[in-house]
Amino acid sequence: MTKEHLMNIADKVFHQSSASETEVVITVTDEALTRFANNEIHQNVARNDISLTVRVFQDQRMAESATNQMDDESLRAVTERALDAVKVMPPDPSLLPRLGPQTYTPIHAVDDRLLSVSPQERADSVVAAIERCRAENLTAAGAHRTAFTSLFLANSNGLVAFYERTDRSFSITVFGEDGTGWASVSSFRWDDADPHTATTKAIEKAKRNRNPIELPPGVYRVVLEPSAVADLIIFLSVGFDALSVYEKRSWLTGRVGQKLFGENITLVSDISHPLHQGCPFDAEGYPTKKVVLIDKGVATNLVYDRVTAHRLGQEPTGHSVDPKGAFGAFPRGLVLVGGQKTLDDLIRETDKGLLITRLWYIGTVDPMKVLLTGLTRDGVFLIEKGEVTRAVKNFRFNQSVLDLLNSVEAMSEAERAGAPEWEWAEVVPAMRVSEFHLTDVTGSAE
Amino acid sequence: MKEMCQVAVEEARRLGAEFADVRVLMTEREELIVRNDRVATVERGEDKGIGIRVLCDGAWGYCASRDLTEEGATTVAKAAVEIARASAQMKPGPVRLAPEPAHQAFYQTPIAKDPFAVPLEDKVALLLHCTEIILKTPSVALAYGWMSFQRKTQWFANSEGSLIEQILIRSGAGIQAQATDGSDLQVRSYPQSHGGQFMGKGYELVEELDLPGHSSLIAEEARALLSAPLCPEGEMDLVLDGSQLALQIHESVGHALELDRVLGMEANYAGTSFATLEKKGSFRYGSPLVHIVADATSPGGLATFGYDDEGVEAQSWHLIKEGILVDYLTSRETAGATGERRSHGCLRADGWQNLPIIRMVNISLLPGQGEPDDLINDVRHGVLMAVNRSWSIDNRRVQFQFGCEVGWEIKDGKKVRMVKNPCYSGITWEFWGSCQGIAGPHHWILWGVPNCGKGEPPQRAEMSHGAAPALFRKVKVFPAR
Repeated sequence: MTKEHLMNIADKVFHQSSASETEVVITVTDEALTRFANNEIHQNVARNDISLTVRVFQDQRMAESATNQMDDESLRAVTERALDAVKVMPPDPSLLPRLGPQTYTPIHAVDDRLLSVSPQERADSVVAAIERCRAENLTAAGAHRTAFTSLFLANSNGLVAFYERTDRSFSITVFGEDGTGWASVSSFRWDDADPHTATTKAIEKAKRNRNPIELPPGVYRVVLEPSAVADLIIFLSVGFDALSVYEKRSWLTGRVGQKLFGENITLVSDISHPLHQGCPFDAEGYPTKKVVLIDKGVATNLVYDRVTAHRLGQEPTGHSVDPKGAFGAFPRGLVLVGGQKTLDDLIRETDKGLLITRLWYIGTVDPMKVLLTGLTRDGVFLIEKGEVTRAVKNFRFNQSVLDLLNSVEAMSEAERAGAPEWEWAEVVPAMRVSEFHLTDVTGSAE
Repeated sequence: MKEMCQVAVEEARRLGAEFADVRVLMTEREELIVRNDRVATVERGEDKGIGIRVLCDGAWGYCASRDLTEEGATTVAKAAVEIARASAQMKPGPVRLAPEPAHQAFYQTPIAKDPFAVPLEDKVALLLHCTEIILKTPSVALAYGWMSFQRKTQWFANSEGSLIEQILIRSGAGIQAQATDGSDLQVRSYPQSHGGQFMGKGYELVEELDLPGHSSLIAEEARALLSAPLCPEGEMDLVLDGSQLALQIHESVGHALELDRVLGMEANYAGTSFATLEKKGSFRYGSPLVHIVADATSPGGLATFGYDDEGVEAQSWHLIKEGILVDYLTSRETAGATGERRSHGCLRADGWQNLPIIRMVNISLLPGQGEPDDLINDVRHGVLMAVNRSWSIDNRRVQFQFGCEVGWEIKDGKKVRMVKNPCYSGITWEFWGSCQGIAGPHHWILWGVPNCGKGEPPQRAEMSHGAAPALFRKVKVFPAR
């Protein structure tokens, strides 16, 4: 559906609504995914959907209603449901008027090549990966996803916001005799998410993950690959929400403006970064700004929804997570500025330590310390005198991300990393940290 | 809608599919969130669509669309066949589906009070009343009230002659207090965390919970935790309340016994399982007190239904009997692959958009006897932990760590003081092997888990776990710090 099609639908809703302000949000999804395991394709799916949410505002009250049917009768019914609901809402003095027309950062996140991928093409990439694994007596599991999504937001005050995006991701776990290797790639461009590259990396790791030894729990020097760094940094980011700082629920409570980390730590929320090209507006339709969260170790800025910004006399930053500013803001498009080294440099400069490929099932144990627990997965290796020498069985960690960032010794250049299966990514480097708290062992190298 | 299902099945068969099943699904939902003195979310929604699964040239294809016209049904059938044929080039063996009789049936969740008929203003007023009470306690910075209602109407048909209509209704509600002094954040929820209690019931669930009657208590406990001592550290006895035990069952039994995981089909994301097939019938999973039953017929369960999403009739069976692993959660395909005569009926999908995969049904620890105080009386030194706060387990479901909202240190059979940040960790079979007491049926509650994630693309599923408080010996206990 084009922007014009979506605007026509919104106009029908505006015409039906008797509210003083009406807002329409439409999400279009066209997605396909091929899954493989045990060296065969076992699931292959495609789905398309449209979700329309109508929000009505009347006398400091708001209510919303949603449907995925776009015929005239459904549009009338969804609008009436919202109008019925708003009548019985209590007034909300914090509610702000809807925005008028805005100007957004130009974003280019659509690759025409990804708009016409056939099931056969998706399967061909999977077949190639499986055949390479079979040739080496290895077993592969993974997923190859292609998608088109668009997000449209318009209101009766004249605001119109539109973002569209293509995505390709490929992730693969390769089973060797004793352990596994994993790698993934993702991009909004077909050519920038090459399954061959990921397969090569996963095969190398699986072949190296043999005869693993079990090392005791303890505090280790570790080299974290970008995927592991991305998994940890996301938990830090929730604390930059100005509302949570105001409510004293953030690890940044009373610490904004202070130097909390070394000069080597700079963290930015930047949806326009070439590797992100994220949505240029937030849930309120406000333009998303680039925000430096940590500048050379100093916690410099927070992200604001409109209501919190209004309350605290600040400018919104365009990171609101909901239309009313009730739940605060979240810094999308994270970029942790890296160093000049390569991952190989980080390993070569390590006298003794562990190389960690990926983390798994991470949870927050204490939010005020960003203390996390989770596990290593799909490749832990012993580094001795600058060389990877042995495979090591997996660990559980209990680690504060604040402490982690204070023990970073060196970083590679930042790259896109994350979890394709969760459909998010950050731009982060690999890093070597002097102290990482590994607290239990799992007895496996998978 | 039945005709729509049949159109899609017939089109798939005409195009050469050996097997096809179709679901047309309509979902109505209502979500309310009150945050402090604001109504943060009031959303009412509906969602409709069709999903078809075909087996063609020995391989699976699935396609889903919101287009509920006859043309839409034939289009998704054609696309599913095309997708299956693309899969067939890397599918060496034929799929053998365990047989299931063709069913023509209707099933509906029994409820006392339609949650969608209760006035919205009454629901909002109830939640605002709760948060107002919670916020009266000093140091409480944040109060939440939640309600969630869902009605799913599904029509199912397959190429073997099944035609099934089901109406599944569930409700959920809960409250939470968060207290802070700027350096510590303590949380108490009622009746449990993660949005409260969810059951296959109507609005009667909300009335039974008496949220206002518990608002002051959770606020006071959250405040008290700020100045409470840390949980003691060491190997000691552990008493878990039913809601935390429910999550322990979910993570270390339910997921471990999903047969698709065991067979490696979820290896890239959710992981595999230590509970491999050769262990069936002999592996000691827990102490002789541990009986764990899977039951898609439990009254009030979130995974209580007439038929699963491939038309297999709801069943009840032991997974663990007297501590021994005896069975798994299965689908027609995995049952067929492992030589079982019939699927246990565990194939379910998140909406019409997604391919059904193996999901837990309701999985429960059978009750023992006596009172929770009997368990505490039997502890020389230990901790009672209640209501989950953090959770993590490895990708083979072996090593876990959980944290709870609140603990009480036990000395010489008595609860002596409240402790904060309680955590415990262990190895699945060692932990269940250390179970030395389970409270009786009067304390057994079916706890809802409304947010279980699995699969690629990610799917959410709902299920319940019944548990009464239980005692475990010599567990690694420690404070988060």
